[in-house]
Amino acid sequence: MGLFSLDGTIEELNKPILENVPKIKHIDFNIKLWDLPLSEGFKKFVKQSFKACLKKVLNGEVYQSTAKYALNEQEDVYLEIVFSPVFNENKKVFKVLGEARNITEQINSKNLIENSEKRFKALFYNAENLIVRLSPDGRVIAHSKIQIGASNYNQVKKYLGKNIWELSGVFKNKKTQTQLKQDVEKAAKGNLVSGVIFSKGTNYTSLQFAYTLKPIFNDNQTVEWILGEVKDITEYVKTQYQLLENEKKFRAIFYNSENYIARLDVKGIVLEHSRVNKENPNFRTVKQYIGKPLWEFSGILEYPKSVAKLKKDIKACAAGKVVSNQIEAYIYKLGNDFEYKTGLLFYSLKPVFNKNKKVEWILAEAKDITELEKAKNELTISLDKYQKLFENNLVGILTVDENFKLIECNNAYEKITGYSQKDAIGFNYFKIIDDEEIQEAKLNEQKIKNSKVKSLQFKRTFNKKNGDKIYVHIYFKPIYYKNKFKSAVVTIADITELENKRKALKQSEELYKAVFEGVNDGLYVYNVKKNELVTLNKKLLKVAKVKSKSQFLKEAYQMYIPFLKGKNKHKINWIKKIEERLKQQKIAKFDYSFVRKNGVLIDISTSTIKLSDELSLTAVTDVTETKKAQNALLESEIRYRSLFENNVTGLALGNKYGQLLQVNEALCNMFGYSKEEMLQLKHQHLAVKGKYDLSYLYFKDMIEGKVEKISITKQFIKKSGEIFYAIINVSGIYNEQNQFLYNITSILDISELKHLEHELKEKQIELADKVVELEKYIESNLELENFAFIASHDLKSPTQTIINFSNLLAQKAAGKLDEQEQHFLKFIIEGSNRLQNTIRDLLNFSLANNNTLNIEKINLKHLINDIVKDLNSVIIKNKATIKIEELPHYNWVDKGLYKGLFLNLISNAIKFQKKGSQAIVTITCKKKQTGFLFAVKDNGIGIPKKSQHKIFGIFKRLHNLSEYEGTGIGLALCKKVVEKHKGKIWIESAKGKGATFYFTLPINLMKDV
Amino acid sequence: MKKFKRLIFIDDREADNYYNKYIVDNANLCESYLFFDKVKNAIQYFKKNTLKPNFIIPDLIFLDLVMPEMDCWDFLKEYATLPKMKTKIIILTTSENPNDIKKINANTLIHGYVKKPLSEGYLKSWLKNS
Repeated sequence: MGLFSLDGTIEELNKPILENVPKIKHIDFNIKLWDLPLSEGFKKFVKQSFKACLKKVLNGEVYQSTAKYALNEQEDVYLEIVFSPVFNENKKVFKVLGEARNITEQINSKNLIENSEKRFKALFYNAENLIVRLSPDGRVIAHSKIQIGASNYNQVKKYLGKNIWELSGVFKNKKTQTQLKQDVEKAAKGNLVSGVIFSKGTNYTSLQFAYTLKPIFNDNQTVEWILGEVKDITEYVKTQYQLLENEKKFRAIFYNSENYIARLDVKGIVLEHSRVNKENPNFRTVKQYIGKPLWEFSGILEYPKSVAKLKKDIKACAAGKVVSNQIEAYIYKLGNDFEYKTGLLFYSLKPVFNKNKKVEWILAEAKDITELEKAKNELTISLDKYQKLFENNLVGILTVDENFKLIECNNAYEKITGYSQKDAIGFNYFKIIDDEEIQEAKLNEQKIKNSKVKSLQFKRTFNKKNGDKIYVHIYFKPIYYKNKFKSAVVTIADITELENKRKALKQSEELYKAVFEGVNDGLYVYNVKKNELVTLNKKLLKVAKVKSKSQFLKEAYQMYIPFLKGKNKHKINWIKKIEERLKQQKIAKFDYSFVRKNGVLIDISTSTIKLSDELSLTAVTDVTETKKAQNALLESEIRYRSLFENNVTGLALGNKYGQLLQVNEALCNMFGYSKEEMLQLKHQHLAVKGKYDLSYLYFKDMIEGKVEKISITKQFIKKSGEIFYAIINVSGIYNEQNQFLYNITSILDISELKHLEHELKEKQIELADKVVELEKYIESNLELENFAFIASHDLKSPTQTIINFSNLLAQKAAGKLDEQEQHFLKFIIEGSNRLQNTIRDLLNFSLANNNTLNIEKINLKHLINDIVKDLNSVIIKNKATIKIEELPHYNWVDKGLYKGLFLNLISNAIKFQKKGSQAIVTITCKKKQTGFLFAVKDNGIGIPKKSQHKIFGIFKRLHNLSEYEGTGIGLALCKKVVEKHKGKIWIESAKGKGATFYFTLPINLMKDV
Repeated sequence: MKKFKRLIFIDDREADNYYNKYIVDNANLCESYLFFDKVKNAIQYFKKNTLKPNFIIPDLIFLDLVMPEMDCWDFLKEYATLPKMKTKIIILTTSENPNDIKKINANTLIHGYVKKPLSEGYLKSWLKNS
């Protein structure tokens, strides 16, 4: 209590205040109430209260105010201040009596009661657990409102006044009821009881409940009521089980882990650790670390930095952080020797918290990552490289998965193929290559999947997105993981250009080689800067007439490469000369001569070109012969010129197209053209083309080299249109390889000659008398031929009559005739048959004699095959073999006559054999310059030299009919046929040694027919 | 009737020889005869036998004109080399070629020629005249 003046000045303070406020003990009482050494809050409160109170106090009323303020640092104090007026004698207020009471206790207890009531209610009704108040005999007085929303909430309400063991879910189980009953009795006697019961939940799931029954005593120490609490522990129990399982699992991991695992206390002391590296000889000593700090492990202790790191991390972990780090350490390695190596140790520290969220212990795990780190570094580097490679590569790179499906591809791939990554993802990389090569691709897939393939490389065509075909090189690098194909890196490079270039290069190289070795000149390549011979070709050796390069360098180089190995001055002069020339001209040509050892003068011509700054190519030609030839040529050229130009015969030089390259004056005069006009014309323009003019065929033969010379009489046409007769001689000019170069044509106007012919004829008539004899002879000859022709025709039918009737007689009268008579008949039949044959042959012969030849284009092979068919029975009878060798595709001959020719030759070859031996007939043909040479060869009896001249005569026979049948006309016919075709026939034979009949068929037959 | 001691026929044709033989046999005008179908064989016979003591000198030789291998002219060449005999050579031929006839007439070794076929009358007339 205190007494204060109206302005607040302290006049008096009582003891309790002074006691309660220690600092006021020595107070100067002339200070104001709010200047007391109290807390600022309180001072403010007092000052405000005092000013507020004055209004009331001056009216004689009492002012009361309550405030909470901090009396000291620890606790808050509730104070109640009451100000009352103090009246003087005049009943006027002149002083204020202040009273302060500490009401903290009061307020606190009041709050406590209010709070506990509230809390109890909240607890009681809102508790998760079921809370009930039971009477000591077990009846429910109150219970918490559990499961308000539950369907049985109303039912639960009904339980009030019933026994706890009659609650639904419990009463059905008698065992539970009994247990609960007994426990309530125990509680009623003052015991705290707890137990577990099983019950069915609302969904009839099996639930487990824990309950406690707590007796509440009254002041008389008797049980007034029982507080029951029931808790659903179904989930809890389950968790417990799980926890146990986890613990077991944890243990298993802890002790069997590959990594080092340790349990540490918060200071880092090892409580237990896993059995790492049983093979480690230090395993036992490792055991000894229990109870020591982790950083004192051998291997770590040697690295102060590592120790410091570990200490720091353990501290951080103890504060609740999860820490991982890596340190250097000696690490034991398994191997042949027990050895320690400096390596990297990775560890992680995990705090394990207790219920109070405080770190109870630390789980430490460590791992040797030396190799891993190395690999990681490498991987990083290679990954980096790969990435760079992948994206910046000019080569298309793609990766495929185990099914060969494209996973990714780089930009270059798109550039090359036209397929973007978006297009290409999922492509089978093989399929995209070429539809045609899928088969092969599938084989490759199989191969890659079935066995480890290091890599595949191949080149193939590739269809671009736009349809273009390119040539690509593919490098397929499969990646296997645990022996299984996992993926592959495929590079694809467009080598179309390269391939083309390579081909071109190869070609040009081959070309170079071909040229270098194939040219007729000797060649060498010389390095000017290095002063050395680079290479030379074989022709150079030939030119120098040496056998080998070494011999060349020994004996001949001075002549052919004068500056090689020569005296310095000499050498420099040569090279300088060549260089100077090359500055002015592309080719530096030098001609020089020297005398060979044998005294022969050799002329050499060289041509040098520059290949590069260093290299020069020189061609060396021995021109000795050429020079000689040149001189000769010059002479002949002059001679030829004058001959050509001054010849009275028309001469022309033409090529194979019929163009005229050169003509002489006589020719121009003959046709009436100028030289210039003439050279514009072709052969064809000058000739009158007759219906049967086959001259172009001969010309073709000439170009092909079959005929060298043609001589024809033809009609030609002059510029004026006048037609005249001329003899034209065409000669082909061929090179060494027999290729047609030019033709020289000489044309002789024979109009005059023709004119003279007429005159001659007239004179011949005059002379007719003198040649009567001759004519008669010719006539008789002609008559003879005609006679033969007609007679043989007329003889045919009577002969046939004889044959017919004698055959009939032989059939009819055979039985009646005696042996001699039968013989007579036999002679008749044989004779008449022979007669028929003779007539036939004679007819053929006279036909052959006929002037008209019917020339056709005949395939002789077919013709001969036909003959062989006709002779089939004879061939079989005589067991003959006919060999037909190479024959021309066709010939121009008279078919009928040639058939007779071959028929006679072949049947003769078969016929004239020793009895019992088998004929082998060979027919061949050789092409000669002037025509074909045929030969029919046999292995028969042959013809003695002395008789050979007779055989081609008509009716000439060398054998008796009883030996060899024949009319004696066959070979005469052959001769006739061959001669009709402007050929010759002859025989080469010796007695007993077979015979070969040769005959020729000229190529230029046509022109004379 | 007088008979030929020996007749010789040289002809390549089997049919002609058969016919001649038949005529001669039938006529029964001849004590012995020889037939040659090849000139070569005939010459061989003469060369072997003319000097032998028992050699029968033929009265007549009937010689065919055209024969293969060696013909009548070949025979005559060889015959000329043999010792001279009284034998007469008669050409027995079908040929009517005037050239042949000229040649026959010109050859002194040939006595004459007769056209085929040979007849019994010819042989008889020859015996009569001689």
